[in-house]
Amino acid sequence: MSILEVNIPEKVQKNMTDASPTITRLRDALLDIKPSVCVERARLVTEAYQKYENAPIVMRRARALAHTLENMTIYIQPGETIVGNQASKPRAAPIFPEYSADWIAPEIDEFAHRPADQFVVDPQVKRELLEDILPYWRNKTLYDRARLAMPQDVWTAQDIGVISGRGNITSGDGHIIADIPRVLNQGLEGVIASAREELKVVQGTTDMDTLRSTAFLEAVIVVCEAASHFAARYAELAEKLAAETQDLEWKAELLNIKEVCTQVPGKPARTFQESVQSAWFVHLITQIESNGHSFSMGRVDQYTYPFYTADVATGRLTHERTLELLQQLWLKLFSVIKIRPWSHSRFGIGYPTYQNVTVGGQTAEGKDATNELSYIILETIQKTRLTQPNVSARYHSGTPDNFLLECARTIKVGFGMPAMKNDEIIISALQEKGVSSEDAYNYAIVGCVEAAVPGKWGYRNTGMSFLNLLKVLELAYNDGRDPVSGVQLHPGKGSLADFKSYDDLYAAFRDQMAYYTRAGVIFDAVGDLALEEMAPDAFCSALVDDCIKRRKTIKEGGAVYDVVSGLQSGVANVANALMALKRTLFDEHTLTAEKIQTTLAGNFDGIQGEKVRQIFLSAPKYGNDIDEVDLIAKQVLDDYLEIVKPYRTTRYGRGPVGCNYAGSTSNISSNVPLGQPVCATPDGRRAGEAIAEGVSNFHGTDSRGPTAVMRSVTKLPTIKMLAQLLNIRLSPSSLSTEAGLWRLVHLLRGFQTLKGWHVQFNVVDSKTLLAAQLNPEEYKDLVVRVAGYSALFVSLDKATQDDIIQRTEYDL
Amino acid sequence: MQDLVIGIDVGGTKIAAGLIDRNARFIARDISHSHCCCPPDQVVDEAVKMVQRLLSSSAVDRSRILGVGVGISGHIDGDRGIVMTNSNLPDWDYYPLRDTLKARLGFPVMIDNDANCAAWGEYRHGAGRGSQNMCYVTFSTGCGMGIVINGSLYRGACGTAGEIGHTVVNPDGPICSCGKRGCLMSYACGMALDQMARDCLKTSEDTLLRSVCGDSPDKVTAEHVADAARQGDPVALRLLEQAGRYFGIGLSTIVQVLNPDTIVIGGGLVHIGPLLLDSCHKALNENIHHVLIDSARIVQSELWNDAGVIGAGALIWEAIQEGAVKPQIELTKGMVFDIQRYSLHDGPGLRTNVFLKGCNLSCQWCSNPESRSILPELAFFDKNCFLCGDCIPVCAAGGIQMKGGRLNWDRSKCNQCFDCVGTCTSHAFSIIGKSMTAGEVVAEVLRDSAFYGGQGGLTLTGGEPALQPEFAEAVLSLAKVEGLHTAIETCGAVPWKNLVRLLPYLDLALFDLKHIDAETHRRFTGKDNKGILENLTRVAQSDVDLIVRVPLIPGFNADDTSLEAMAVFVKTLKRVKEVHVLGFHTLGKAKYNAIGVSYAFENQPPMQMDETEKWADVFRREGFNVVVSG
Repeated sequence: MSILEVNIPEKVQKNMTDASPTITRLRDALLDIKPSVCVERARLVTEAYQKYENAPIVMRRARALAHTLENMTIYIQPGETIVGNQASKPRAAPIFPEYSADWIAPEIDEFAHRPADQFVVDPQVKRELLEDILPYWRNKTLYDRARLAMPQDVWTAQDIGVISGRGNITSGDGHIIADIPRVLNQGLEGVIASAREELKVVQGTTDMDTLRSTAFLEAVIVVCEAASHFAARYAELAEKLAAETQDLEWKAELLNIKEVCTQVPGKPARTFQESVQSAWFVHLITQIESNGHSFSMGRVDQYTYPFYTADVATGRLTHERTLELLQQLWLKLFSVIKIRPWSHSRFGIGYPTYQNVTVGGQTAEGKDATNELSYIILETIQKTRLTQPNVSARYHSGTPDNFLLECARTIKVGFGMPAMKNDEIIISALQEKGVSSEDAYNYAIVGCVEAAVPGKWGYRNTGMSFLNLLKVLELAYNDGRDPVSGVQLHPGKGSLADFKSYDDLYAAFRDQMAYYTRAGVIFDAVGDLALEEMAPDAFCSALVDDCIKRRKTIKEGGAVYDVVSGLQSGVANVANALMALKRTLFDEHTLTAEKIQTTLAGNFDGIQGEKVRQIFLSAPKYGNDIDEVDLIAKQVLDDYLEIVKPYRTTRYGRGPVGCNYAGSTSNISSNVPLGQPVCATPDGRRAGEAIAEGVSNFHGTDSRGPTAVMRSVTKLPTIKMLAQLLNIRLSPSSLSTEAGLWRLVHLLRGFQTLKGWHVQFNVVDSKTLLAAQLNPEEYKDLVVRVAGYSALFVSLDKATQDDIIQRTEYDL
Repeated sequence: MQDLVIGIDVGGTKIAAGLIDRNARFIARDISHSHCCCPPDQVVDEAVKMVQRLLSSSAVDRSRILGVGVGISGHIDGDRGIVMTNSNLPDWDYYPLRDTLKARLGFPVMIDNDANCAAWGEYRHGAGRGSQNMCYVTFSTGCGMGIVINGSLYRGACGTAGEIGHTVVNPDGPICSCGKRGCLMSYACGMALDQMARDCLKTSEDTLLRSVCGDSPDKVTAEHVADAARQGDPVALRLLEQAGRYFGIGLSTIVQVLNPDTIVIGGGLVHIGPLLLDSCHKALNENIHHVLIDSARIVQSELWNDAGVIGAGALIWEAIQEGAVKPQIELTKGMVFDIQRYSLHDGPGLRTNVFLKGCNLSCQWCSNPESRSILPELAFFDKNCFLCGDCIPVCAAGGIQMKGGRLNWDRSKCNQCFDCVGTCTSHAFSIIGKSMTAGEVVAEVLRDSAFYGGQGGLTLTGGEPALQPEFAEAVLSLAKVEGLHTAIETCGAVPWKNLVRLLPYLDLALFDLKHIDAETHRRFTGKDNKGILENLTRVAQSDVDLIVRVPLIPGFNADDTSLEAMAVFVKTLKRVKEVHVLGFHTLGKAKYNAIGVSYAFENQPPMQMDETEKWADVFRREGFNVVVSG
């Protein structure tokens, strides 16, 4: 997922919605909050870890979760109908010291002042963390274990900026969808019953592995019971508040909450409200249990639909009430927040939690699944206008045009939502990876753009280590030596001047790519082993098939499917750079190797440097539907996939389908930090400049509009991926009329036909145009279109730009 | 305009040729028997003469011919254009028929087996229309078959698929011309019937054949047999029954092996009718598995003797569709200065706008001043220049100088040699205008076909597209062949003959209307509006959808009087779908600077939206559906 700067919460405006007064009040209060740090979880987990030091790790962590749920502060705010909080205050980030703790002390004073994702730290909180809690964790965390086990060359590969996997060992896994429908239909009591069933099998056994698994099954029972008890605390609180209030309407609501929380998630849901509340509790508890991000909610419009129709049939539920409950859920999801070391934060700025909600698509039988709730969820986005949850709309050839039109209307609001996911390729891509037809049709989106089968897929279908392809290329034409640090981990095949042909150059690139792909896989394996041993999650594992049946946590191989993918970044830059070198150095001989090397080292300085840069810029660029360069991008990804194909994950041979690597380009905002360690490159990019995002073109290099970009993107080996990210900016004026919205529908249908994976649209507002006026370098690709004429915005003079800004405002 | 093909069918006894249009209608036809049993060179001579006769008799200009398709019996390698063997005609082994004919005629030529051609003719234009898997079987002098599977001709590994005539139906049968015994051809074709009739006459059987063939038993033919049979002659009836039976057995093999949905039967023998065909149908049903009975429609040819000629011509259409043959129309050249995909405002859906260079109005507010001249021209984009100075020595005319830290280009000295462009790495100096073929333009437009969704398509704009009528027509007609929605944006200031030839290929015209008063019009655009108003009225009488576009220009037409007069005029037109009003803007300003032309509206502020809306109301009051563009 990529949240562009226009989408980050600080810029979310208040009072923009036409939501109900209650929602508006709750929403505005949320937006007013400056995110802070909450110490409660750290305190409670530390207490439990100390108390249960003799327990197997899975049980020790189950006790820690139970202790937290039992003792953490809970609250119900006036007006809330969906209850349950992550920390002592809304948008307060809990600390997960068992994952990594070293970074907190050195960074804590900077939390409130860092360039983005700032957190306020209360002095009391700081004192307790530094003095009472963190000392216990020295050398005991997941990170400490992984760091100890990591081979030095792999660590160095990360230091010089070729790979990056630090998020995985500082913050844990995430990237998963629990089996929420199971909890709605059976309640957690059903899950407990399955665990008890398996425990019967275990009794009396002498088999070592089976004996060892007892702890997991018992831990499942502990956390599920704790979850029901957690809900009961809310029931109790609601009852107490009801007794205190004089407001009759609010009293009735509180009594209703009491009833709901007494029922779910322990028992099956009976109403739409109970289904939403139960789903939220499950989601919330997985968020409290472990530290990852991208915990996603799956197909909300599908699994709550039976409850919705039943309630509508009995007259219990109105459109307004449905909308109200979903908006409350949205506010709850927005209130979730996590804090990361800055080294990791900068890979995904804007407080993202990547909580995905999927709507639309097809049923397991392949019928169109768009229903009333799909539309109501779009309305919810329009009304709440929040950056979380991250909504994905699945579509396919049988999706009603009307639904796509409503998606277009929602996209127009300008939050890049819903992001559009194309069933026509994703389902085949999943089947290609061994997923059964029924499961493939039932996929949902995790985190940003990656597809998984809800409740059946292990952690991190994407989000393993990053591979900085542009840095790889830089190493390739420098004999494997990093020009910044001087480090040479893998000797290359010479420098630019040594290559006799383009094929030599490409072979050198491929060779470096193979080396660093392997380094990434080792990084992942070390991290995975540490996670398996140090951070098993009984609650989340209980809600992923077939963990209970196999008596294994997810990390031990409990999931039905377990294909992962790293993040290959900078495809566009590499293709452009290779293309430019091919043309100037090997085909047309317009530049010599020496000239290129010195110019890149000099960062295109001076007139002569600029001349070389312009020559590079004249070569064809990826993203313009030019086969010559687009096919280089395809070859790079093809070769990566070929290289990574033989590698297996730590779950290989332990049960799941897959246990191998697919491709993924959903590189969140990592394109900025990944560009930092790379010097000037032959695609015309200057030293330190961000690299291209996802499979989008490099900024400023798409001169032929979004259809050409889509054509370029769909030449890549999408079927072999697990995630693909394409971001397109549209001007609001292009969506200002009904005809404009229909044109977006045509654009989406074209993308569907071409079998693209994902596309999201950023509709630029006049604020962005104003920003573009001030920082033209950053907005080089911004195209404005009026009748019979179009122009790059930054190429226009100021008066004209002002004119367009005025028009744009009118259009909106 | 290329719109015709020539088909030639070289048979054992005759050559048939036709000049045919896209719908398989004959413009002219020709037939010749003089080449019988001649060597290939003489056949080629004859074919060339026939093509000349077709053109002269129909008075069709050779520029209209897309190509020549030839069907000929024997084993044909169509890809290499070679006749491998031919059983009817001697001396043909490995004869390069395609290239020989191409060199003589100057047209693209394609060759294929005659049965394949006939099959293709029936499939596209005859009894096989609508089928998916079809076989065409001919019973004439010889016997052959063409196979269409999933809508394509099936030729087999070495191009000889469908040689049903030489499948053995009786290993103890008579010796066939191919040397084998008992081929289907030895029983069920004209030659076989001739032979069997002759054999009968050598016996003492009492038969009418003796009288119908006169006194020369060596000259007895299948037609004599048919005549005798119609008169009830038992020997003739038996011969036909036998031929029909083997015919049926042949068909049964086809049904059994290929399971086609349709078998078209053609060739002279089929005309004999039930006397032959009854036993054929009977034998067919007796020799196939019962589940296959009635699985294939057995229908008689619709094109008969024309099937081969039409099919040969259809090969050319097919080759054009597949890009194997480039019609001249695709090579028509024009001057284009931009192609913009994802255009949203110039017609329905998503569109690709093709900007043609050249306009004969010179509107003072024009936002595309670089489109006026039809010639390529030099432009200098100051913004892109990083002052390397490489262009200064290159300009022989001395038109480029560095002055006060800026590059100064003196346009008056420019002789349009464009040498500066080659040295300018940052494209500050660029050539506006590029010669492109219609084929290149349409190929670029088709890159976005996934996005047109049945609504969008191509818009020709400019400049004035109708100033390059041949090119515009070529582009539009090719777009129409591809099923695209087509639109033109025109200022209307062209001779009517330029516009009218485009109308058949257009779905929508966006017609600019600037002013009703001739003198004001002349003052601001360089021309009066008489022709424009006439053309607009005529387009409104055609069946092309019409949108009238009004640019709102302060000081020219943005006033009540002018606009009301225009609204009243437009009201008199039929078929006006919408009126589009475009508020004055200055987006073209930078381009005036780039090409060194002064801009009369330099200091005029852009029109505000509320004003544009106010003027739009003038047309709304007249009941028009008005779209306001920025």
